[in-house]
Amino acid sequence: MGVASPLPPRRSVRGRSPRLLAQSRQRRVSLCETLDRVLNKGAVIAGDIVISVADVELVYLGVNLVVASAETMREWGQGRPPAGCRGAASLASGVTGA
Amino acid sequence: MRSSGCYVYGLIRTAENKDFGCIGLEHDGRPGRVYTVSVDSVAAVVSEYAGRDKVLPLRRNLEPHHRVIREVMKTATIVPMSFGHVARNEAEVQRTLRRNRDSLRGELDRVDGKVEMGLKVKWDVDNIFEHFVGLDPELAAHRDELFGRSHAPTPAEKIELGQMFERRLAQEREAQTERVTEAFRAHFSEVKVNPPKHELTVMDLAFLVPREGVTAFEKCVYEVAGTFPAQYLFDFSGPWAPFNFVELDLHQAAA
Repeated sequence: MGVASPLPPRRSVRGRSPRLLAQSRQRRVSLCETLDRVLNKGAVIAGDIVISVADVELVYLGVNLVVASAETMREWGQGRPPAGCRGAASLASGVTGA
Repeated sequence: MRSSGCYVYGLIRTAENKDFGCIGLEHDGRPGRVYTVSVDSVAAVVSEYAGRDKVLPLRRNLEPHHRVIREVMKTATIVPMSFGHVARNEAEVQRTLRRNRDSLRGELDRVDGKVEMGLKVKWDVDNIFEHFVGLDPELAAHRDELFGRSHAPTPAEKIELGQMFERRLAQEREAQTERVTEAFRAHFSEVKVNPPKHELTVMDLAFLVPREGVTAFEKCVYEVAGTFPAQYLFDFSGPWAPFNFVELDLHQAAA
């Protein structure tokens, strides 16, 4: 495909002593930030026009970072059990130690 | 008219038909061609999508979703859709654009020429409780009183101490958030305060910043960070599409 994963730059500054984080951690956290936005924010269309709305239930990254919020779930009124976690498994394989 | 569905990435203001190339979600075994479907001056950025099943939040789908938003962002202000919207066809997309025309225009105007910058401030300490006990003599005295006795504290007493800590944490977050947003005042048109997801998070902010103001914003991060003690870590990211500033709940097109 030739197009690298498009992650926006992310930098880290410590109070009184600016420093940059290691590149690998930067990319990882940036990916979490990306997922938080892509899955959790943005415009939504209510109703039947949508054949499909992402089967996002709770996507856990690493230990305890919940990316898809309860609000998103409520919004869509999906009372289903978190079967959507099947998607999470392959996601999490590339994202560890959030 | 195409027979397959349309995956919708976001909305932009343009009257022309644009082609962003084959960078979309996979369609027919290849990255789908990304183009616009417009009504008057408002356009949806879409690609063909044949899948009958739900679009799963897999890496192979999330990556192109975000890639398209990033690519479109280079030349236009995009109101991003949240992941996973597939319309039946182009006509459905057009009907939805038409039906929501006013709110779409309002939203596109509000974020026009602006990008989102993320700023997370964290306490970079091993034990946040210890950190606060060190800062707050009242909390320290209460803790010492409870745990310095010959008998163990009761659950109720521990809960009370925990609540005291929580209140102190919330106060500190609120005060620092105010301090930081005030320091950035000149650099943003809107700010969104997201609830912290982790106990070490002081604040999780998103700023809506003019595109040409990104450099000044970044400079401001360094300046503001310099006024904080070393156990505060400032993480900033961006520019992003205005994910945190989209308040659209579009209505489906009337059948």
